[in-house]
Order: sequence, then C-alpha cells, then structure tokens
Amino acid sequence: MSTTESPPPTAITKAPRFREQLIGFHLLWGVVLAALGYFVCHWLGTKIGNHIKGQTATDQDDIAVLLGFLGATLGWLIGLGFFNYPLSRMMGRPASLIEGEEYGVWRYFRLCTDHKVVAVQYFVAVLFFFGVGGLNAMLIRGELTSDNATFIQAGNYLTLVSLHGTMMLMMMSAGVLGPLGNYLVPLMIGARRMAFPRVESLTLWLTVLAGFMLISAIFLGGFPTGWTGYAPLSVEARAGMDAYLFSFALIGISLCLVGLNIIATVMTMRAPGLYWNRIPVFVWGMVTTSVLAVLAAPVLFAALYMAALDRTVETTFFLASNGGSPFLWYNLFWFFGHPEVYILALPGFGIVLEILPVFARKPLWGYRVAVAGMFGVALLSFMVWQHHLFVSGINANLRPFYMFTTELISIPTGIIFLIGMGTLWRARIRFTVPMLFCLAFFFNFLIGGLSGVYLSDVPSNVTTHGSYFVMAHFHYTIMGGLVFATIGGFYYWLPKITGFKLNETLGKIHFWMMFIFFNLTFFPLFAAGLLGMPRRVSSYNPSLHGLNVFVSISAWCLGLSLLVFLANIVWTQLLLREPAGPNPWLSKSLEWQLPSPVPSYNFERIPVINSAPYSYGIPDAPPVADFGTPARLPGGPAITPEGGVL
Amino acid sequence: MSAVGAMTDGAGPDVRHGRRILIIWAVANVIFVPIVIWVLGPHIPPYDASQQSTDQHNVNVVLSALATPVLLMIWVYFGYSITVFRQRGPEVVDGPPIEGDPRIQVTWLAATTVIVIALAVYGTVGLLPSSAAGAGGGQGPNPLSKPPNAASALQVQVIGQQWLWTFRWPGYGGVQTPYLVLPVNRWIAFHVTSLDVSHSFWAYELGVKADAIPGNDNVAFVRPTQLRSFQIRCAELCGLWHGHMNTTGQIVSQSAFDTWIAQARVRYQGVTQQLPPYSHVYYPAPDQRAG
Amino acid sequence: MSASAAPGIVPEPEDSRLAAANLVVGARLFASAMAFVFMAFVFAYFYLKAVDSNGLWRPSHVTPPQGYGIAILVCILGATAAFELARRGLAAGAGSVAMLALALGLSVAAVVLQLIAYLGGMSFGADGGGYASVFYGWTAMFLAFWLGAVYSVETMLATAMRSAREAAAADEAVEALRPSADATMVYLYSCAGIAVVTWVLLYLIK
Repeated sequence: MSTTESPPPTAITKAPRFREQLIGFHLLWGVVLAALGYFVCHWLGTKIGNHIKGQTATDQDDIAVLLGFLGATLGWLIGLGFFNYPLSRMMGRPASLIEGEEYGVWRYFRLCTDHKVVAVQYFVAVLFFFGVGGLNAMLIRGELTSDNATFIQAGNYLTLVSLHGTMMLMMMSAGVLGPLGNYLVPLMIGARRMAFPRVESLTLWLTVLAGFMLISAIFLGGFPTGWTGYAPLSVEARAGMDAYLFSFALIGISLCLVGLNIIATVMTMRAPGLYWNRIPVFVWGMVTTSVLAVLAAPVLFAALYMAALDRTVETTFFLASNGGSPFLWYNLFWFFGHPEVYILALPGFGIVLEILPVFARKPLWGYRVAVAGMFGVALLSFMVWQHHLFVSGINANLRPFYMFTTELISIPTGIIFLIGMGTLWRARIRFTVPMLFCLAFFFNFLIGGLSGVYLSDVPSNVTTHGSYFVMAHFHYTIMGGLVFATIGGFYYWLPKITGFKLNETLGKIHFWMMFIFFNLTFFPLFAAGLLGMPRRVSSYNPSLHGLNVFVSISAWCLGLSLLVFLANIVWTQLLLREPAGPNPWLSKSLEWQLPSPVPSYNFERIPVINSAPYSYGIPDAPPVADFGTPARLPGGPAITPEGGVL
Repeated sequence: MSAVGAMTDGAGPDVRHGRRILIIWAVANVIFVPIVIWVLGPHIPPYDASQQSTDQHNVNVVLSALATPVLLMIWVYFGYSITVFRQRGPEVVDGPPIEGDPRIQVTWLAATTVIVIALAVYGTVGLLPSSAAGAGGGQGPNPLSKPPNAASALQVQVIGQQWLWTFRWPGYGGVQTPYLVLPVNRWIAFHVTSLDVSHSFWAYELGVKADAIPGNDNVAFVRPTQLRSFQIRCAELCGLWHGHMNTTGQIVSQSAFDTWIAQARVRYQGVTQQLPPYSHVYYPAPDQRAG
Repeated sequence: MSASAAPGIVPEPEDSRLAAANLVVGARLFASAMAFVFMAFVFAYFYLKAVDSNGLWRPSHVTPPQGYGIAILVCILGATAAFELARRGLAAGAGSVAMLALALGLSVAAVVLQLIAYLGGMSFGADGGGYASVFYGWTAMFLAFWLGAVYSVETMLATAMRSAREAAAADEAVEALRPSADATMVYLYSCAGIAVVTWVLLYLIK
C-alpha cells in the first residue's frame, strides 16, 4: 500500500468542453428529471387515488401531490447522479469514495465528494434560503404595521408566516453543520475527507431540493399551520401542507445523515495525536449537535409521515373522533422540536468558544467544562419538551417535572457563559468583526436565555405561552444567538474558504446596524406579548399599534443590514478578490496552518497533533501539529492515506 | 509576526479586577433591583383582575428581581472586560495562559444549581392546590392546581371552533351563549374544548389560558376579583381568522350575573334545544370530522 | 468561486480497514436513528391505546392477519440468520454465495408477503381507528427500511459473485466483502429486532 511520501499523481487538469459537460450527471439534469418526475408521479397519483376506497377529492389531491414530490425527489437524485453508485454496487462493482472532484467550477453544480466544495455549496444555499425567509419576514412586518387592515389576504399572510418559520428552521438547522461543519471538521481533525463523502453531497442536494419544495407550497395553496404543523389543522389544510410535510421530511433525512457523517468522521478519522482532550471545541459543538440531529430528526420524520397518512389514506393518528389524538402530534413533534432548537443553539456555542480565544489571545478557559456543558445541554434537551405544552391539557402532575428539567438546562447553558467570561479574563481583546459578533452573541443569548426562565415557570407561562413573548424569546436565542454566531463564523472562516479578505469597515457597519436594529426589533416584542398580543396574528389590539409600527421599521432596517453583508461578500469575494494569506487572524488552530484556500487534498502529509489549538500566551509553545513527519511512524501505528489511525 | 508577550502572574491583578467588578455589580444591584421591583414591577402584566392574574404578576416580579442581578453580573463583567482587557495598538499580544480554575468552576456550578432548584421549588409551590397560582393554565381533565372546593365552582364550558368562541353552562340547563359574563369573587371552572382544530382560550386580564383541543376537556380555574371587562383571544394558530377570534368578556356582580344568565336561558332557548346534550367533549360524525 | 489552486489529486485506494470502521460506526448510528423512528410508533401505539379516544382505539372487527404476520417475521429472521451464517463463512476465509442468495430470497419474500397482505389480506382499512392507523403506518415504514436491507444483501451477493469470478485469490475476494459485511450485519440485526417488537405489539398483544 503506497504512503503519502511519494509526490501525489496529478489528475485531469483540463476541464472538458461545454458540450461534454452537458452529458453526465449534474444540476441541469437534476432539475429536468425532477420536473419530469413530479408530473409523471402526480399523474400516477391521481390514478392511484381513484382506486383507494373511502377517498375524498382532497385526499386524491394530496396523494397526487405527495407522489409527485416523491417522483421529483427521485428524478432530482437520478439527474445529479446519486443512483450511479448504488446501481454499480448492486452489480457487484467495488466500493469507491471519490466522485466528481475534477472539472473546476462545474464541481459546484454536481455531486462532488470534496467536503470543501460541499461546504461552499451549502454556504450559498443557506444564504439564499435565509434570504427567502428574511423576505417573508419583511412582508409579515409590513402587514403588521396596521392593526386590522389586510394588505395581504388572510390565507397568504398565514402562508408567509408559516414559510418564514419553516424555511428558517429547516435551513438554519444545517446552517452551521452544512457550510462550516463540513468544511472544518476534516481540517480540524487532520483528515482529507469526511467518513461518507457521497452522503455528504446527498445531504446538500436534498437540502436544496427541500428548500424549493417548500417554496412551491405557494403554488399549492399555501399552508396555515406555522412551522409547528399542529394537527388537526394540518390534516384539514389544503395541498400546500403536503409541501411542508415532504420538504421537512427531506430536511429531517438530510439532518440525520449530516450528523451521522460528522460523528463517524470524528470517531474514526482523527489524525495521530488528536486525543479526545485536544479536539477543538468547535468540533465538539458539531459532535453534540450531530448527536441530537441523528436521534431527534427520525422522530420528526415519523410524525410527518403520520400526518401525510392522515391526509391521504384516511388514517386517524391525530383525529380524536376516530381513535387518534392531537396530543400524539404535539408530543412527537416537540420531542423532536426541543432538541431541534438545541441543534440550532449548540453550533453557536461551538463557534463562539472557538473564536473567542483567537481574539482574546488566551487559551480557552475551562475546556473540559465547556465540552461537558455542551454534552449536558444535548442530554437534557431530550427531557424538557413538554414545556411547550404546559397549558395544553397535559397531565397536570407532569408540569412540575418539566418545569424542573427546563430550568435545569440553564445550568449547562450557563457554563458556556462561564467559559466565555473566563476566556476574556485579563485578555488582550482585538475587536475584529468576528469578535464583535461573538460578543453580541453573549449579549443576545443572555436576554433570550433569561426570558426562557420566565417561560419555564408554569404560572408565568400562562400569560406568555402563544404570545409575542415567546417570539421574542426564540428570536433572541436563535437569531441573536445562532445567526449572530454563524455570521461571525462566516467572517472568520470565509478568508480561509475562498482565500479572499472581507472588508473590515463594511463588516463593522453590518455589525452595528444588525446589532442595534435586532435589539430594537425584538426587545419591544417582550412587551407586546405581555400586553396580550398572540402569535401569528395579523390583527391586534389598537393600543399596540405604535409599538408594532416601531418594530416593523426596525425590522426593515435589520433587513437592510443583511444587504450590507451581502454587498460585502459580493464585492470582496467576487470582484475585489484581495488575497487573505494563510493566517490573517494569527490563529493557532490547525486549519489556519494551511494555505488559503485549502488545496483539494487538504494536507500534503497527515499531521501529527501536539496539543489542543489554544496555546496562546505560553512562551515557546509547540505548534498545534507537526507536518513534517513521515506517514508511517517507525514502529508506530499506520496512518491511512485518508486520515485516521488504526 | 506577533510578539508573544507573557503577563506576570500573581494574586495582584486577579484580585484587583475581581474586586472592582464585584463592587460595580453590587452598586448596580442596589440601584436597579429596587427599580425593577417597585418602579417597573407594578407595570408588569398580568394585572390584578383575578386572583390568578395577581399571583402570576407576583411571580413575574419575583423572576424579574432574580433575573436582574444575573443580567447585571454578565453585563458588568463583559462591559468591564471589553473596556479594560482590550489590546491597545496594532500589535497582537498574547494574554496570560490561564486554562481554568476549578474553584471558580465549582462555585459557579454550585451557585447556578442552587438558583435553579430554588426556582423549581418556587414554581412548584405555585402549582400546588393550596396556592393555585398556576390554576389559570389549562391542566387537562384532572387538574392539580385547584381550589379546595373545586366541585362547587361555577362550571363554564368554553367551546372553540373556527373561528369563534361559545360558552355552555351545565348548571343552567346547558344553555349556550355567545358572550361570557362571570360573577366576581367566585371560583370559576373553565372546561375548554374544541369542535374542530386546536385553539387556545386566552382570557388575558384574568390570567387564564387553556388550549381548546378536540376530544380533550381542558380545565382551568380562576377567581375574578374586579368588576371589569376582559379580552378573550385565541392563542393557538387555528387557520385563516385565528387573529380575529376575539371577543370581550365581562365580570359583574353576582346578582347581575344571575339576572343575565336567567335572561340568556330564555333568549337562547331555541338554539340550545337544537344542540347535542351537554358533554365534556364533542365528536363530529365521521364524515364531518376535520380532515 | 474556485476553491482549489492546485490540480485535483487522485488519492490512493481506500484502506479497507478504515472503510470497515466507518461503515460499522455509520451502521450503528443509522440503527440508532432507525430505533428512534420506531420509538415514535411505539409511543403512538401506547399513547393512543391509553387515550382510546371516542372508544375507537380498536373496534371489534379490527384484527391483524396472523398468518401473514408470522410468515413475514419468519422470512425476516431467516434472512438475518442466513446472512449471519454467510458472514461467519466470510470471517473464516471463504465467501458464501449460496447463503447470501438464500438471505436475499427470504428478504424479498418478506416484502412480497407484506404487499400481498396489504392488497388482499386485511380485515380492516386504514380508517379503522387508532390501532388501524398505527398498524398501517408502522408496517409500511418498516417495509421501507427493510427494502434498504434487501439492497444491502443484494450488493453483498453481487460483490461476492463478482469477486469470486474476478479476484486473483480467495482472500482478495474476502477482503472486498469485509467492510460491508459487518455493517450490513448491524443493520439486519436492528431490523430483525424491530421486526420482533413490531410483531409482539401489533400481532401478539390483543
């Protein structure tokens, strides 16, 4: 077996001509076959629907739409080339790992097993769908500038509300795992690839499909349930509901597989010397998030599937009149739903704790406690879900228990604050744009977290449940927390990914606009909720009119701040293209010891890790890894070509 | 390249900064906690139209009083850090290599655990039958937070449907009224249910919220203490006109209530005769169910 | 936005020991995810049974097709056993095409039997109450996962047959199979375990 000491052989360097590109499996075929698949299976669905007894016309509609989506998914995956490998395996051909890594910019429009390419694809997809969700929010706030007029018709308004929530949650669940997790996990652990590269690409393309499928709900009549999809409303809704069910199910599969991939990679493919206590805290954040993703997403999948059955073949999982119960949906959904919000929060913790040491120039304070905290959050997140149901009519004896577990989860969450505070103690802070976003994370998440304490207390929850107080709470934790941290992460790691600097001044303008208008938008909503404004309404008590107008204007300015971000990216990454160099932030982490952008093979030689990447302030500290050692340590363990020690 | 500097470690700087932060925090507490309790406090909803809303208001004030020191500590610490622990000048200088301090970690964990347990106990006490602070929240068919003489409470069934509220009075012949009028200073037991999809009965000023779920009898208790009107809203997304499912209730004297309900029995007799008999839940015929 | 300055590098062939480690870890993680899917159905079963809304958890005419149930379970367990024997043969140094073919046949038989049962063997429809909903939903979901098992067994068989033809030496053939074999075993055992639970709750308990 050859080692990595010999010069790596070169592959195809000349990109094939355009005509040759058209043949083969890529995005264009994916789109064409998806459309074809949708219409063929939709037609089939109407035929099948006729033959199932007990059907109503709307059931037939739903069967046709759901089968159509299934056909679209199959066509999409066939067109992109995901069936090639399974078919070749079914014919007994040997297993292989690498696909589509050649061909320059075309790699980004097809199945590509280079984790860095998948990460960039995810980055574009997440930004795009975040923009769609954000536009929805701008329209929602437009409607809310009046306390009872309807600029937007009632059904469309509910669809906007539902689309905003669902799109954001679907996309931000993999908002860090996708772009940053896929890019950084192999680099930070000293591997050349993820454990399952083809699966990695699959998760991306499923996400892209799911996003467009969700948007297609608009053409199917929209859906009225919000992202929580409560039954029985979900069972009686029009065909747009099927778009929600199917696209969310695709995201569930994608999320589960992303998590599976990350956990497997970290377990088997760590470079030599990377003991468990040397793994960067960002990777731990990804691992804990992945544990939640692998275990919680399947429950969502099952629940969505049950709702689809209720809508099509007349099962009655959620209909109380025929042996079912809406509480079944509530429990299944929130059993997923609460870990889901920690799937959103944990990557934020990981990013912030990873970036803070670099700009504080101090080691991460309390590394083991931080990791324990993240695992504590992950574990406890499975034990709190009924706090969404305190006034829904659950067994009253359960309420004290769930109140206790919900309050308990603030302990590991508080640990994250402790670690951040300790890292800043007597630091030498540099206020770069990523650092600003990380500091804002602490500010916002504190408010979000404290408001959670109010919600966890049952008597207080009676007034705030289902009101704008909850809205403010989760926007503070998810947007103020995760989104701020993710944007900070993008500012931090984009120079590594593309090799080009971002503009610091534009970044600071973006930051201050976003921070100020974010707080101006969402802090008043705590008051709105306490003053009696329910969620998801377009008409409200006239006494809250002024408050709502103020919030809407602030929200629009918040949207503008994100345009500044977009402008920064477009200008510096596509137009200006000023090289950033290998380590503009002077970080000690492994990925910053490589060139920017990282070459396709990551490491010329798999490095041997010396320490955790936080050795700031230690005079004569060794570098985080040794790059010059031979691939096979004398008398030591074998290092596989891909990374990982056996 | 960066110049790697090393700070001289010693008890000096740690104690100095720590003392300063603690003093600033203590002063901030002395200023802001009273403001939160006595200036902001009375304005924190819900107000005092009922015993439950008053209890919930008190809970909110207590939580705010507890949250303030926590908020201030984090703000003071971070504010101090970003002001004092900053790198001045373009050089990149490392800070001291402090990797952790088990004493601080243990103290923090212990303190947060104590606070959490105290909060949980406080909240649970609020749910016990004797205190009934959580009685305004829907508790299903077997409520835990209830007044001692729950059986003699005035029973009102709240029926949610797309998109209006109606009320049935089992103690008055099962009459159904489109308005909710309640007598003051008397325990009321709401039995909240739905005919189609999930709604949520939110009587804002009363501090009552109970989800209306088909097939479920969701019980909540309240004792109104003021003669006034109150808003009723739907707090669970239920379709197109969810935001318009509003009405106004009224708290009146016992005698005014007796008059009103007697008149209602007569006025709505025709409607009531056509309704199914009073029951805790109502199931539509299979071919008329939602879905 | 091209992320690579250097030409694409073709790495050396995959080390099969790493592939095996990845596949086994991946299979175990997937099995946990699968377990949670079916946990949702177990929860639905017990919850709806406890609530018995409108008295319609299980109307009297709703009985599962016991014959089909046993037959499907036997096929599933048989396929798992056959595959285990094939894998043991593999570990001893020889591929076992016959055992794999048997496993494939039994696994396909399970699928066919379930489809026949759906199309003609059921005494109740999907609208027959809570139990009926759970029955159809659960068994259909299991069928989907079992199709994955059929795929895995088929690829093992096809790889074994091709390696038997093409491999220069017997141990090369065995090497080619080893990564997938352990992973498929994990998956099959998980499916078999879930099948047993399914049968007990849906068919055995009244």
